[in-house]
Amino acid sequence: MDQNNLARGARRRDADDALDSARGLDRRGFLMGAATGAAAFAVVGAQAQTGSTADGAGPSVPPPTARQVERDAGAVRPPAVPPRAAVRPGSDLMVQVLKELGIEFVASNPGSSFEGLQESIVNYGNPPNRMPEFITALHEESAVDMANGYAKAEGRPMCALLHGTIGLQHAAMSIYQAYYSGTPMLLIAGRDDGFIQAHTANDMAAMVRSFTKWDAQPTTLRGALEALQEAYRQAITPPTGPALVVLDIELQKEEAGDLAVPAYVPPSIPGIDATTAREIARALLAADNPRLEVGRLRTPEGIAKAVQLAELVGASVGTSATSGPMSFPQRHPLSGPGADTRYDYTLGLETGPADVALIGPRIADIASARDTAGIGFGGLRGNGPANPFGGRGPEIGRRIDIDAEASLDALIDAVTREATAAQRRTIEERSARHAAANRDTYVRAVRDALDEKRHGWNASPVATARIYAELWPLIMNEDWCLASPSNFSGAHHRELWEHNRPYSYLGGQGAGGMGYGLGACAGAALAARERGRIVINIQTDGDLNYAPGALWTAAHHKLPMLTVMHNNRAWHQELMFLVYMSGVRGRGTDRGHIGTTLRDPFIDYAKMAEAYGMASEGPIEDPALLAPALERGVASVKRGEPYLIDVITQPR
Amino acid sequence: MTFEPMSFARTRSLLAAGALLLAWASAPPAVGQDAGEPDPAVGKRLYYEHGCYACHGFNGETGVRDLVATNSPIIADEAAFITYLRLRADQAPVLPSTRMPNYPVETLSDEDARHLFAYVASFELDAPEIDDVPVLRQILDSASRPYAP
Repeated sequence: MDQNNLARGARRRDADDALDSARGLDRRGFLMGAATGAAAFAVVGAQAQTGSTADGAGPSVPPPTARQVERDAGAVRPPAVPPRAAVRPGSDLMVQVLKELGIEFVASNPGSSFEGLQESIVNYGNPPNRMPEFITALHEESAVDMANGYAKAEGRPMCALLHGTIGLQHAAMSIYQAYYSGTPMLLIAGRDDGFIQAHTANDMAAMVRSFTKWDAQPTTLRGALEALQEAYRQAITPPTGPALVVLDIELQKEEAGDLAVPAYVPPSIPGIDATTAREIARALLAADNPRLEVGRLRTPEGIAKAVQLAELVGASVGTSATSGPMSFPQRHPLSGPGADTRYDYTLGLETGPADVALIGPRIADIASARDTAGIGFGGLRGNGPANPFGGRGPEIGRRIDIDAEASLDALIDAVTREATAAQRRTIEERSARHAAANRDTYVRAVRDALDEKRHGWNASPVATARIYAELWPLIMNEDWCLASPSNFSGAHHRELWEHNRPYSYLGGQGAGGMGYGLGACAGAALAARERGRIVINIQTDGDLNYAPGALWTAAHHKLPMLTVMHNNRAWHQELMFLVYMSGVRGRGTDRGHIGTTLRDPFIDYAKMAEAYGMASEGPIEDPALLAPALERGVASVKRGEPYLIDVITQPR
Repeated sequence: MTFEPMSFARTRSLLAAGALLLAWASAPPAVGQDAGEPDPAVGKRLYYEHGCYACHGFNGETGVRDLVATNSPIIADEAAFITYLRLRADQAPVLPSTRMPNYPVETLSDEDARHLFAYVASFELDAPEIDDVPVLRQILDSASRPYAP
């Protein structure tokens, strides 16, 4: 044990003693008594009962009981099964709630404030540690980022379990980003008001209330079970977002007796009424050239319904699949500008431009009620999309404030009822024209993109476009997910790769915060692991260094994650900012690297991965070596073994 | 600063080098030109030290501002190049701060600017034909494959 651990152990024992003293039990005395016999135990017990003072001037010690004397003489044998504090601990029921909610994973860095719940996760159930499985995170920020990546990929929450105060504080930035992204997730924070004072708080959730959708700190076990269910409901009900339950350690350890887990009632998410659905359906069917604009829906089921609606009306479709998750398949035959771009009726699903747009509640709608800190919500409180970098929203004729996904059943039903035979024939012919036009448009777009991406093809360091180009043929026939943000790496996948799955690309950080990428990719890889999917992580070097421990998590849990370093040895955006600022102030641009670059020494990411137990290679500067390395990497992750390739790249 | 840029893999033809020398010889005198021939090797060092690569790539053909493929008049000749470097020296900072920085003469001398131009002018676009790169051809061919959900 090193000095830090010794010190930590000592602090823990001191804290234990303080707590036990407060509860009328001297732990050190108890242990000593256990070691030296019943008489000593009797003394300690008597002290506890009679409240002896520190100077020993308390009441006299009563004589041992007959049973204590018997035990001291060895006449009493301990029971075969040690008595337990709780036969049916409350935390078992909490885990049962998570099981019934379908929570697959709980990502966490261990902490004493949830030791009861952690024990139940790893030991309760058959098999134990399954649904949910405890995922070991090396930093709470990574744990929440994992939940973020998982939820973006699957359209449903994962859980991050956080230690009271300090773990929650570690997690704060990543919670903030999930909130900005509208990512549903279940957060649990442990609370122990009698252990380490620095690790507790009267109102634990207050620290993150400004950027969580909902929170609760229940005081009864039943209340705790209901709060977990309500948090899940809140997380997945538009506006979706992180919801937090603070679980007291005493509730986790409490004997549940015959308390039953309450039945979970899913949320009822309102959609448009039948009259409005019929009105929109008639407009779509009457249009000569209808169009759908599809933004980010909530679940894969919603996307399937959007596809069904587009096919029923033969509309060309605009998609956001190249910029984020849960949108219309990019290469669906109807996806694209279509045969004619003079659209006479456009329906928007969570986006525009549109004649009519169905746009559900956004985090912006509740931000002012929760945001007591006034933290950076200019981007959320506007009428536009939840975009921290601003920008006007698209033009919308009539906006109906209602969740689009929840409205699709009514729309499909209305279109099915209203369509005439003649309209169906027209729709079929139009769909065929759209399909041919969209295919031609796409091929032209790819050719134009390649014409640009070939610039610097043989450059060393390696051009970022070449990384995306070399990767695509290796994964195009796989079930893949690009989980890393691409905004700092050229975003070349948007033009070169086909985004046909709800999780093809998981989008940006949320609030532009660095450190997100690796954790989010690990979370997406958790979702991928049992589904025959692989995750691609084009990992910027600056981002990796905030919480690289997720490399170990990926290795430990055998996550199918291929990490390809976009290693430009800098926080490159900031380098450009500083050079610019130095220039306009006329003070010279030759010190822009100070504080913005990762030089002297360079960081060896292949060795870093190796240290965390992940297979790796690099650094690669010669572009000719890239493709074979990528082949090895893809083969590795298809075997379920994560892999890292360090590539020294052009800046962008 | 001691940062040593990574080695380049590209090779350049003697013909191109000759053409560049001819271009320098025929270029109009630069603003405030100092004595001495501009040296691309010195310009290469300045290109890194002043962070030019940050936006234009190490070879001038990648990044957010591709230099070689755009045929920008700013790099058409030395005088235009140096004039552009000085153009906004009196302007206040603007946001977003992703524009070309200013390079007043006090922080980048005319002599250094000439060296810098000599290096920038040596850039060549290395862009193989799509048909000559199997992986690019494969991407293009796959673009017309049927949609498979």
